[in-house]
Amino acid sequence: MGPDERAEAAPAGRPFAGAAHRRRRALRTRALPFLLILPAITMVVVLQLYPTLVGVWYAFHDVHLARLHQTPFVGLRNFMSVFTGPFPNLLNPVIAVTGIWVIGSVIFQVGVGLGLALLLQQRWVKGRDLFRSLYLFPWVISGIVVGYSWRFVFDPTVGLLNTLLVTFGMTPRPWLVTGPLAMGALLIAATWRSAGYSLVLQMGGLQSIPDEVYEAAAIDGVSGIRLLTRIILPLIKPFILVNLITTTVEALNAFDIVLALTRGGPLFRTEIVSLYMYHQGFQWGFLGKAAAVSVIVYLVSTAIILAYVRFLHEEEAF
Amino acid sequence: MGIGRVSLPWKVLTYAILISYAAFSLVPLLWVLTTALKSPAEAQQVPPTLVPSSLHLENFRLAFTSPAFGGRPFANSLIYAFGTVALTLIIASLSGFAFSRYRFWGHRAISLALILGNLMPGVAKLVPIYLMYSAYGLYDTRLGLVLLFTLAVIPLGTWMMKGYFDRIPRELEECALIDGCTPLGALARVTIPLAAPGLAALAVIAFMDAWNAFTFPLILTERQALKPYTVAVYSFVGEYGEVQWHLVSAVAVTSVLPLLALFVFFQRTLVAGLTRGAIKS
Repeated sequence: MGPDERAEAAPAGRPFAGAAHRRRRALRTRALPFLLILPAITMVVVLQLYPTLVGVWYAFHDVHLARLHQTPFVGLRNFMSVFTGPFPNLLNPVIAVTGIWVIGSVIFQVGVGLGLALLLQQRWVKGRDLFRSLYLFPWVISGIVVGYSWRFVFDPTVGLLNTLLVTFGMTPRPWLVTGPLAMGALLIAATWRSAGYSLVLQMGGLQSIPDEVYEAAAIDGVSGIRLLTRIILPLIKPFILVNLITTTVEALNAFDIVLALTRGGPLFRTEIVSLYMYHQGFQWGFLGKAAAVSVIVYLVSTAIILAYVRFLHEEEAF
Repeated sequence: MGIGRVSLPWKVLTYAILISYAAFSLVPLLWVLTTALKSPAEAQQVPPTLVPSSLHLENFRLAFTSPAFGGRPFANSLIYAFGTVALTLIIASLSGFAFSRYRFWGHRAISLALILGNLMPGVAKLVPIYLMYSAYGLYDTRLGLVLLFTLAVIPLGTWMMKGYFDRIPRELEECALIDGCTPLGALARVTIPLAAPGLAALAVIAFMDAWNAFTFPLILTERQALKPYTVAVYSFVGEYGEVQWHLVSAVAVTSVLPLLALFVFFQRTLVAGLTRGAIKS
């Protein structure tokens, strides 16, 4: 750009070259923002948009790992088969398992994060930064390491939890071996990892409330639960909604933490949709069926996000 | 909640909850750390000891010389992380600058597309990406992975950088332009240096994202020599059979060390970047 620009600057001194030069310069200024976003847009189109569309195409074709060059059109057969095919399928038990996982993750992570943020934000609390660091740190650890660390905590023979239970004279339990306990263990591990992120977000929300609001509330004699539900929560609603969206997306996207902690077991009782898709596509080779599951995941997550956004806008209208 | 007199029982309860949750955050990490520091014999003892009787580093040596794990995976993860950081910084600062300084045709639609694209679960792309990579020679390559890791950070990175650029006065660039700089020269010499804190925050987030990535490398790498530590530890643990927790613990502790260092040094920028990035989107 440098020498080129200098060559152009030279004729600017001559009176008659001015108009053409200005026009070229205006064109360049108008093109510049597009050039700046070109790398980002190219990556999004090639690695996000295009694969998504191609995925929809695959969902209607019989694609198998073993014969990638032969992909006949099969209409809705992939969709039928992921819903009603042999166990495990979406109706039994993947949708129910995914629902419990997503709703549980959202309630625990946002709830714990918000609760801790409210406690931590009180003015007289000392060591606020230290608490926040301790709560946030698990969030930066990889899902696979989080999953294995918790599997090691829950391990029936050499795990920390049963060792502690025995030390305190209680009965050890078969964690991760029965369905409800395995899902509970997953939710504990996920909350352990991500509640700190919610906490940071909600503390940002609480800090956005000006002091005058509290002073006015104190003058009007509003305190305790009423202060929380009538004043604080409505004011930080945008922060809570953003947190709900990010947590929902994260839960739908979760894969490594579940694969490391329970591998979808026992007997598919923690087989969330991402694991089901992976098993269908890459363990058993039915890439077409996995693509059909992706299409459903796209539709559901779009619906959830639109619902949240609609809700946010309606609330703002009041 | 800051005004008015606070009762003592409430104070005690608050601290009790805060300290218990801090313990909950720490204990699993300490459990893994103590296991990594036990002697191999003590680490495999049943029932396990809660505190190591003496400190050893043998588990680390065993893990890094074991043919099943070795030192290679961590080197690979470092390469991927640095590649992702470099690419993300360039691409996101260019696009962030464009969104901050220009009102160009379609900027609203494009920014919305970036945000929505980022909200779509990445796992749903597994099949098309796998087939696309196999067809175009990106399967089982370093470049293929770095491109995907970079894509994952670009939307957030664009918003973060836009936020930082918005706070740098336009007049500074205009001065540089009057002094004979080109627009890109002004960006490189004036604006980027002023946005250094934003770049640092973005670099930390990009590093952590790429360092921890698992799903795409799991399905897109075949050669042992290309696997990052996340995939290597997954195949090391294996699908079935006895897990060698003392070696897995040593690997886990090693994987956390760079994250801990970044976290300690950049916590403030990270927190600020997270809050701002989340609220923008």
